[in-house]
Amino acid sequence: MRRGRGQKKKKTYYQKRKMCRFCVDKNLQISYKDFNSLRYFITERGKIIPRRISGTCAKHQRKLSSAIKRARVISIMPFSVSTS
Amino acid sequence: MRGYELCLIFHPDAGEDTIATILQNLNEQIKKHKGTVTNTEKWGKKFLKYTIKKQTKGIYYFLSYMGTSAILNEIDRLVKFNESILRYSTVRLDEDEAARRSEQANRTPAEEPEEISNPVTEEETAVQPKTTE
Repeated sequence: MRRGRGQKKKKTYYQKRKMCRFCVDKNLQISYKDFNSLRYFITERGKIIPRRISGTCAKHQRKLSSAIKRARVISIMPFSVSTS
Repeated sequence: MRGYELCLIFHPDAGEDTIATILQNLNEQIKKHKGTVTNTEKWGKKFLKYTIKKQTKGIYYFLSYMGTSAILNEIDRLVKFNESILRYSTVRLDEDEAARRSEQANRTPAEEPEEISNPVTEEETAVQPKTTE
């Protein structure tokens, strides 16, 4: 098997389209009191994961971010996590 | 009338009597302003995610009610300078959520406080037989 010049194999990356978790499962509720469901949407540092990475739709991302911010105020979620 | 939810975080050393009196005062004030308490939730002592007033633990209570915005000022006045309360926050509920809670309150008004006290006693009775066997 010889490959001539200029016949480089092109790599093609396919990425599965991310779906909004809350649109797929309508029963999922966004609640600022529920830490366990919100924690998937923050980083280890406590930052809110942008929707281009998590795949949530605009509507639900808005609700999520306000829920996370509310949870931070009542100390259910951290504002920041220091890594030492 | 709108639905609100009040979250109260009490000092971990606050006695049950002081908590009870504060909650009772709040209930009275809400009733005075023609509001109705639809649901009270007790989470108990939990670790805080960051320290508030040098405390690492807090006692959580959630109080959802229907009422007018005049109640908010009244609650502010009651809660703001109370030393046994670390943090409080009021959140306006969506209309659906508020309606659901008031429905629940109408259905089972008396059963809720029993549910909180039951699990503790059940655990205690469940553990004892094992040790005797």
